[in-house]
Amino acid sequence: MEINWDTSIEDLVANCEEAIKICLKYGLSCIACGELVWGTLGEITEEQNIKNKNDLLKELKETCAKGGKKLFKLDI
Amino acid sequence: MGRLFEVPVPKNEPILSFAPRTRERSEVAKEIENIEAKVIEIPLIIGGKEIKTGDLGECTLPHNHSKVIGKYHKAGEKEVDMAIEAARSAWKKWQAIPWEQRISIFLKAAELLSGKYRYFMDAAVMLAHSKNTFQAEIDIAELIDFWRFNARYAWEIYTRQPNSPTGYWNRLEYRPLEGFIFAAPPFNFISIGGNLPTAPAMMGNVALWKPASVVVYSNYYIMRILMEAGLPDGVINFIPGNSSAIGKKVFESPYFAGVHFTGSTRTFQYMWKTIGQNISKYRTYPRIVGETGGKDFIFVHASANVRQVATALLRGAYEYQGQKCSAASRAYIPESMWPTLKDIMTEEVKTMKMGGPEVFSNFITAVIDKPSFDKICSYIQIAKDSSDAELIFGGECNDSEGYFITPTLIRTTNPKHKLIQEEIFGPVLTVYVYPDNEYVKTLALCDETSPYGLTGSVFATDRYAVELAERTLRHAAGNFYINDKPTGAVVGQQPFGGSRASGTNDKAGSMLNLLRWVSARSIKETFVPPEDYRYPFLKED
Repeated sequence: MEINWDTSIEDLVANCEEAIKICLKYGLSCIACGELVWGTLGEITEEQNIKNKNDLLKELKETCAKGGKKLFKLDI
Repeated sequence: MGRLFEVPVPKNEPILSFAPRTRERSEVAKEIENIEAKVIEIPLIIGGKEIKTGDLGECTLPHNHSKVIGKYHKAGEKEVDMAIEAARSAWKKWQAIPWEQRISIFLKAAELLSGKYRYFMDAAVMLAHSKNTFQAEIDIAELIDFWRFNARYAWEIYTRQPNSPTGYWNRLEYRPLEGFIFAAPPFNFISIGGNLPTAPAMMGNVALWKPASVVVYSNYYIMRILMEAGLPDGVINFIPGNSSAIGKKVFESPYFAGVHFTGSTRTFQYMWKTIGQNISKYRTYPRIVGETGGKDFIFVHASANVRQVATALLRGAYEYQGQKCSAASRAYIPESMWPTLKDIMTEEVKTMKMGGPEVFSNFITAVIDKPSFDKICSYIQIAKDSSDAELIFGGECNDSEGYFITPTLIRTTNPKHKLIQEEIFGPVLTVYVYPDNEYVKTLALCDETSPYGLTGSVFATDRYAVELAERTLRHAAGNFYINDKPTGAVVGQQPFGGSRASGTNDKAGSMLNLLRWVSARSIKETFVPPEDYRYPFLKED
């Protein structure tokens, strides 16, 4: 999955189990009340005024491309 | 035809004990085995029909994350459109049917859940939500209460009629909203899962129900129970899937008439913003009802009983791993009490067993999923790395088999520490120890520390201290407890909800909530209308 500013937080986390840790490292809160927040990576980083957001995107792309394991492997 | 009926006066559902050698214990154990023995396929239910999209998600157990008990189909844009159409079609008959016919369906559902499906649903909630037996049982009982009490509240609303002076008859008709309601519940309570779509439906509305993705399994069976109870096709449409994608489609519909939400503050604000951007599209102004986050507190006065305080903290903070909107996650402790309290809590927590809910003696089970686990553990790490925070006990995270986090107590010397301000939604309690003679000052601090206003409690035997806390913290909690933990609101006893960043405070489990789902029409009938426009004052002297 290609990760960009239009990627929803749900899609991001569903496709990359390391995403939450990376987001938290940059101060991006993308889970609350045990639920992933709604919106895209672009919307949420802007709303939370995340500094170094380009570095965040870069790290997400690199890490998720390498180890991007799907949380929900579907096989029916 | 005389149709002035009265709904039976409800009583809160009794909680089963699950003590060793009770029937409920052995029956639930059997149901757990049955559930774990198979993998079910969960369809969408739109217009009463099962829909399979082939886009699948898995239902796994938080305490054993490699174990799959179900696979569910996810709704896409097409299915959201289908659900809106099915709801609109059902609305025509559903809004017109006499109210007692509607209410009867939910009273029947309560009976089915209370009896025939009790043990199965207890087991389903234990496994899907990773709740110990007691936590699952009180959750099921709460949903039964929602259905029975809301039925009575609906009747009470209908009986409230305006005054009619001689010569006129004034009536109020409580119409459902013109459109559909979007129900988006959280993972943590099946009772909220069941209540969010049904509270509007009881008042004659139709709904789209998007269950929380991690607990589709248990929510699906509630949908089946409603169908067995006689819910007509299309009144509630069950559409699991990607939340924001479904929400985006829903909020674009001109027939969107309201949202009934429980979840995070951020998501609720996102919804509200989206609804605002689309406001000119709607046929009616939507009702926006949301119960969101909390940073719930226990405030202790030096006169309090230390053992009672310890019990409230242990239960309030760690039951269901702190994953309740109302869970105690910060506490203010007088200096004189702290050493004793710390010792009691440290000893007691050692007796709390942790593991899967299938073992009845386990008090602590797993947190819901990996994202939650990562988030909670990151907060614990922040505390470990802080110079102004001290780990008293717990702080261990292990996700090798399930998402287990030990009950954690942090003491901070900084009353504005990140951990005492932000919602963590896990088994992490942060305490701030204050000088005994700074009770008043620290109450003000408690009021100002968090943006939330959901639940809180005060412990004191000194009545002046109780009164002062009640007054100072008036807006700090929508549910305020005196000498009790801040969790465990009961339908019909403590209507639930908070203000500030915690939501619209529309009090689930009360008449106040149901009033949001009706649009009243005033009807005035004049028995003998005047036949001359001239008022008496127009006559000349």
